[in-house]
Amino acid sequence: MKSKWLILTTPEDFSNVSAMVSKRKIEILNHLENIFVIEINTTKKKAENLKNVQGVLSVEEEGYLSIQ
Amino acid sequence: MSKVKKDENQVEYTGRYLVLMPENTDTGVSALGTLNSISGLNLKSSTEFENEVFTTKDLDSCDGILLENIGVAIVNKNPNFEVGIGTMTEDHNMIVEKERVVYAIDKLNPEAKNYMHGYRDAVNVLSEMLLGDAETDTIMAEDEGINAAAVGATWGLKATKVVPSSLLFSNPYSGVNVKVAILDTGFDFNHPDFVGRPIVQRSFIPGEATQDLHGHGTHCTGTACGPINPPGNFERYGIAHKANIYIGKVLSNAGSGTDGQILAGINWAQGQGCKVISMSLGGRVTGAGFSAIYENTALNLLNRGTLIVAAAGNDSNRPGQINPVSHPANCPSIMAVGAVDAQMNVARFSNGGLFLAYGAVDIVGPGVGVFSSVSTPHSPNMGPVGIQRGNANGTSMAAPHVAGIAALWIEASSLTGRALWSKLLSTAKPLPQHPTRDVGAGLVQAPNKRRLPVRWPAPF
Repeated sequence: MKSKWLILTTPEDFSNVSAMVSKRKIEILNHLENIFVIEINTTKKKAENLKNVQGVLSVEEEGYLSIQ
Repeated sequence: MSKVKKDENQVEYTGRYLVLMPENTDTGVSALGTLNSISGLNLKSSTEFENEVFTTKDLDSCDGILLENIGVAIVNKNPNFEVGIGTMTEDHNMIVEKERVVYAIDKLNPEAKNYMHGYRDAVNVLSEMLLGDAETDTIMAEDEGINAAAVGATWGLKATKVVPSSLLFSNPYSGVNVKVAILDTGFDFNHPDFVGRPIVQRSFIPGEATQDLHGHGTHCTGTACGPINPPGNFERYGIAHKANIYIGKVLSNAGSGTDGQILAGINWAQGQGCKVISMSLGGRVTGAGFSAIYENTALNLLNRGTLIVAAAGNDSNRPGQINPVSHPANCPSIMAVGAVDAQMNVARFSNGGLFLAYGAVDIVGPGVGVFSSVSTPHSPNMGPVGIQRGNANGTSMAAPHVAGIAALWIEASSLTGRALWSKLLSTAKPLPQHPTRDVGAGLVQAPNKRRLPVRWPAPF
């Protein structure tokens, strides 16, 4: 089952990681280029495999937030 | 005892005079000698009395008494003295005033209380000038309580010194040219309190315009950046009233959003050059640790001059239950804001900093009974149908107080990012009655300026 994930990269590897994600045929939802975050839609297994990609600092599943 | 007299303004005088010695006068024997020589009187020194305490009887037993520590003499009515006043003020730079009758503050009406506070403050400034302690730089106002002089503003703006309580201080800051982003449920672009105000906007919620149909975002924006004079008979509720407003809709009209939408909002705000990002949102933490993505993002932004402020969360039910600071405010590089009420009690719902390494409450702001703007239409949670302004509770309301004040500090000090963070914490008003776990550095405080003293002309 697919869900939304967030990938944090180093500034210098942002483009390379994006290319690598595309190469793995993972759907990219958003590039947040100012903060070096890529939002993707994929399975938990594929998302966790991205942790080993050069330049990836963190991979986290998205959650919901609300007004306080 | 001199007889009490009233002037045409019903100000009561004792019949005595106050003489303020010029700035460069040495205290002690030389000052007394100088004054006696010039006035032709025989004044005593306050040091002649035990512990410098004297009575009106002591005063009546001589021509007057010089208060050595502050360089002020109290002089009894004397025709010879009155003849020499012109010489004293013009040739010797002394200030001479009639001594007023002063009543206990509690017996006065509010207008008179304000006057007396001003009079007291003016005397303090004159004393400090003589002692060389007067300041004119941007400083923190003295704690005068929240109801002394400030009128026409919310309790939160008074408590945080956005509206100084003392007439001796002013807040000339408006957040002008500072870009402040409010990431929330959007904003009511038709609100009457923001007519003519340029606002940059973007929605990150698919299918929803930035127009706020919930009310929460409009309330938070009002606190951080609302007007100094709302039209109609409403008290001031806005802080950085000339800041450039950036509205990022990252929460739906139902009041929720995803991490991706919020990060997209942060990304946008950073790209727009916003120096303050206010996020009155959060999610309850379910496990240990904090988000590396938010932390890294906030750390990078902090190093690049952008401060992220976030609500600490409302999951607690004090005093019995204190829950940890919510995500993403629990990231060390995001300033977590807890809430207090007007009596400086920690709000029942305000989360606490339960872990040593992360998730601290960094600072607190007003978060109970906070009056601000509300969108039309709005959620039933934001008040009765049709209202355009109203009260709300939450750490959501506390966070924009900090954001707005951060904008004032940027204007006042040019500090941004990490330096701004330090400034906000170092100038917060400590609340030692509460543990740091709940209030962090204390109640956020706005920059104030001490008014330059105005020398009152001699009343004759």
